[in-house]
Formats: sequence, C-alpha cells, structure tokens
Amino acid sequence: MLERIKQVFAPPIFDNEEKARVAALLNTMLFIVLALVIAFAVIALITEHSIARFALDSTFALLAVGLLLLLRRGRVQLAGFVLSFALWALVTVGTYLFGGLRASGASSYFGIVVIAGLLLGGKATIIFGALSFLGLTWMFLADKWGIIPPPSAPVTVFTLWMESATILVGVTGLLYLAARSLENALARARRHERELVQKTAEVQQLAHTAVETSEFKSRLIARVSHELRTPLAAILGLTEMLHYAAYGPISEEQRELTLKIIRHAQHLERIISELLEQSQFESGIWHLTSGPCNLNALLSGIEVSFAQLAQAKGLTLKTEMGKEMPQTVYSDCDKVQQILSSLVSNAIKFTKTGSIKVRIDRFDDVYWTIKVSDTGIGIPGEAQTTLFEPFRQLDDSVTREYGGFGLGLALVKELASLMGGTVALESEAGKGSTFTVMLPLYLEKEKGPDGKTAGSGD
Amino acid sequence: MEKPLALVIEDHEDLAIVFRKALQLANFAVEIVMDGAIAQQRLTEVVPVLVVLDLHLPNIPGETLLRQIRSDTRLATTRVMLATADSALATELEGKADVVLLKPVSIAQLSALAARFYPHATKEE
Repeated sequence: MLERIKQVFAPPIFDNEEKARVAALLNTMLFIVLALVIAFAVIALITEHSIARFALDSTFALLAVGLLLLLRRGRVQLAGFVLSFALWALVTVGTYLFGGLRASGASSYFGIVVIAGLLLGGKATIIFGALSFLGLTWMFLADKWGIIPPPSAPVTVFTLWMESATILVGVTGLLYLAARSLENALARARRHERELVQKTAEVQQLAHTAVETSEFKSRLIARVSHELRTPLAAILGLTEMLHYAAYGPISEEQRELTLKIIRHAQHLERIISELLEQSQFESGIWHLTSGPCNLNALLSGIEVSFAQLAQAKGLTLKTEMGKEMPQTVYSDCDKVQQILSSLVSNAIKFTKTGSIKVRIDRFDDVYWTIKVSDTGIGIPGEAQTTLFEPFRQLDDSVTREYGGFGLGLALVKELASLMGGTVALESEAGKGSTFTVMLPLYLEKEKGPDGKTAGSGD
Repeated sequence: MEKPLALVIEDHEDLAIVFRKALQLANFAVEIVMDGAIAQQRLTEVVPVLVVLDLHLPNIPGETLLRQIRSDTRLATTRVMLATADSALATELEGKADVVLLKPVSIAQLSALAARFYPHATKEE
C-alpha cells in the first residue's frame, strides 16, 4: 500500500539527466500547488463562503492533476510552461476579482517568477517577470480608474494573514527547491569534471599501453620470424637436397612427397613474411621510395611469376596495358609489385575455373589504376567492408580450404594508402571479384612521393 | 684445373651442409666455417671467389666480416652473398653485399646465383 502511494508521488525517470532533474522539480511543485490550491479552496469556502473562488481553485487543482499526467508522458517543458502560465493567469484574475493591489494576492507573482525560472530557465524568468509586471501595472491602473470590482466578501485580517503566510511558505519552499536544485547541478558538474579528469588519465594510460604493446608485438614478431626462418631454411634445404637427388636417385613417389614438403615449407615462409610485413607497417618503418617504374616489365614479371600457379589450376592469366597509360611512371616500384602480386595470388587462390585478368590503365591526369578481376568465389556484400582488416577472411572454412592468414588484402590497402591511393572492390558471391587500386600518377621525378615515411598507425 | 673456392660462414650445421651441397652443384670447392672469429682468421689466409655469409654468428658478427672483406684489397674480387633470417638487417645491408638472400634460401636459387659468380661465367656479364 505504502509502495503504491510512493509510486503515485514519485517523479518520472528519464535518461537525460537535466530533463529528469526538471521533471523531479516540477513533480514536487505540482504536488505543492495541488496542496496549496486545495488549501486555498477550503479556506475560501470556510472563511468567505465564496463558491466562485472555490470553483476557481478546484479548476486549478484539476489542471495540476492534468499536468502531473502530462509530466508522466514525458512532456516536461510543456507542463512547466502551462503551469507557469496558469499560475500567472490565476494570480492575475484572482487578484483582479478579489480587490486588486488592496488584497494580498499580488505578491504571489514572486512565486511565479521563481517557478518559471526553475522549470524553464533564464529566459522564462524574464518573460514571466515582465508578464507579472504587466499584471501589477494593470492592477494599479484598474484601481486608479476604479474599475476593480468590489470584493465579493470582506477581506478580514485573518484572511490576509492566512494568505500571506501561505505565500510565504510557498515562496520559501520554492526558493529552497531552487537552491537545492542549483547545489545539485553544481555537484553534478563537479562530479562530471572529476570523472572526465579520471577518464582522460585512463585513456592516456590506455593509449600509452597500446603503443607499448604494439611495439612489443612488432619486436616479438620480428624475433619469432627470425627464429622460425632458421629451422625452416634447414627443412627446405635438406628436403630440396633429397628432391634434387643430391644424395642418390629417388623414386617418383619420393620425389612427389619431397615436393609436397617443399611446397608446405614455402607456404609457411609466405605466412611468416606476411606477418612480418604487417607488423613492420604497423610500427611505421616502411618507407616510400620513388623512381621510374616500367609497368610493362612489371606486368611481364607478374605473368612469369604466376603462370605456373595459374596453369596448375587450369586458369588463364592475362595482363594488359591501356592505350592511354604511359609505359613508365614515377612510383615505388617494389610496392606496386607487392600490391600486384598480392592481388593476383589472391585471385588465383580463390578462383577454381575461368580466368584472372590484370589491367593497368590511366584513369585521368591525376590517377592511374590497377584492376585485377577474377571469376572466383566472389565476396558477399556484408563481408566486403571487413575484408581489408588484418586477419580477416570470409570465415574459418575459407582459412581451412584456401590457407593463408588473411593479411594480404590488409597489406594491399595499407600499401595503397601509403602511396596516396585507394583500393575498391566490386564483387558478387559466386560470380567473381574485381579489385581496383587507384594510385596517383606521377610522370616526373620532382612530383614523385619521395622519401615519405609510413604513417604512424592511423 | 683446381675448383674455385667458396667459403661458407654459417653456424647452423644443417644449413651449412645445404649450402655446401648447393655450391658443390655449382662446381665450387667449399669450405665451411661455423664461428665468426675463425672466419676472420681464415679470410686473411685464403682468397675465396665467393663467400656465403650468415649475419648472426658466434664471437664476431657477419656484418663485421662483411666490412672486413670490403676493406681488404686482397679480397677485392671476392663476391659476397648474405644469407640471413633477419629481414630487417637484410633490408639494411642490401647494396653492401653482392646478393642478399632471406632465409629460407632454396638450393636451386643459391646454386643458380653462385653459378653466376663462377670465374668462367664472369665473361658473360
């Protein structure tokens, strides 16, 4: 039962702290107003036997209940404004009807200004202050012109005392609420400030740790890759010796098996290289160089390097240069080659039948493009955005079936952006993919992106 | 005719064996040294046509040996092939040696490269 009553009186709760504060204040005020108008109504009925005033106060009590409901529907500002305005109207009409400035009602204007300020802020204080001033002035003029209706009942000293005391209590209560509300707001601001300072320190600490961790990771990967390469070199070398029959003839079956060991060792080596390149990039030790880069030679190189791999899967690998494209550009040839290799190797990996096409073309006066298209498994739309993040492959089954670490495309993207370019992907699952790398076109040395250092982790 | 000498400076025994085989395939006489200090001494005694050099060596690092070879006029014609597992150092030393190889090195690759430095083959270049 007690809980039920508490629930009725409890202010509504909102996520917005300021809104919740005003709502709590308005809630308290509306209940106080409700209590006051009921008190006024009873006093009026008992001491003055005034039905008119009782009706007015009761109407106002109903309004307060309506506003309490409005408040619970989240319309805090509106409820605050209606309350302030209704109070102003009540005081104005009430004072006019019951003796004007000669009665004590006019002093209620103080309360209204305070209420409006508390609920609606600084501007509202001025507006309701001005409205109240107009009310007072109207009372004065009406009195002077003798148009104030005579009081319906004689104003007794007791009524005056009662009304003044009620207003005093009301205004005291309101000012108390105002002061407390300000204190709370101040305390809240201070708390937020403390939290902010603390959070800033935490974030700084985290950033510091992140940098340290990243550096440690890079060192660790460099170290691990060195440690892995040495035994790998022995495995590969010793197996090759067997394979090339350096220690006497071997059977066809043994040759096949040793070839498998060699392929696995080479695969492992590629993974180590990818890992190391990624960590080197993250620690910002990649540098751009610029020099003349013969794109025809680059394309032939790619064809030679990947011909065997493509043939083994029954794929055709075609490379071509656009007519508009200059043969030689100023660029970081090694990085362009790395991008090409990575994209072509990926395309071969993910294509079962069909062809891989590499096309270099001039885009406009500022950019040139490398397009690598395949007729492979394609990439579904939702995966296209995460594809360029490190360690991302479509899913684990892809890793199992196709191998690799998922670092290739992340590297392509980072290399491209290091060179001032972008990578775009058009793909449809089941139909194939086209990766387009767009790079800045430099035809002279002076304008080349020479000597820039890799970005520091952005 | 005596075979040209290739000096393999490599502390990893199995790799040294692999390198020896690859160089023998390219028709070199091969000598293996597995310690930096011994290698330093040996380089004052012989004039190898080719040195296959590891970088992380006991006692004296490969880098020091590389500088020594490059500053010794007696070894002016000696070709140096770096074979290292340290990719950072490999990048750094590119251009200072005749060839920089990042381990793992395939026998076929090493053998083919060594053949290019074989005395008879130099006329072709």
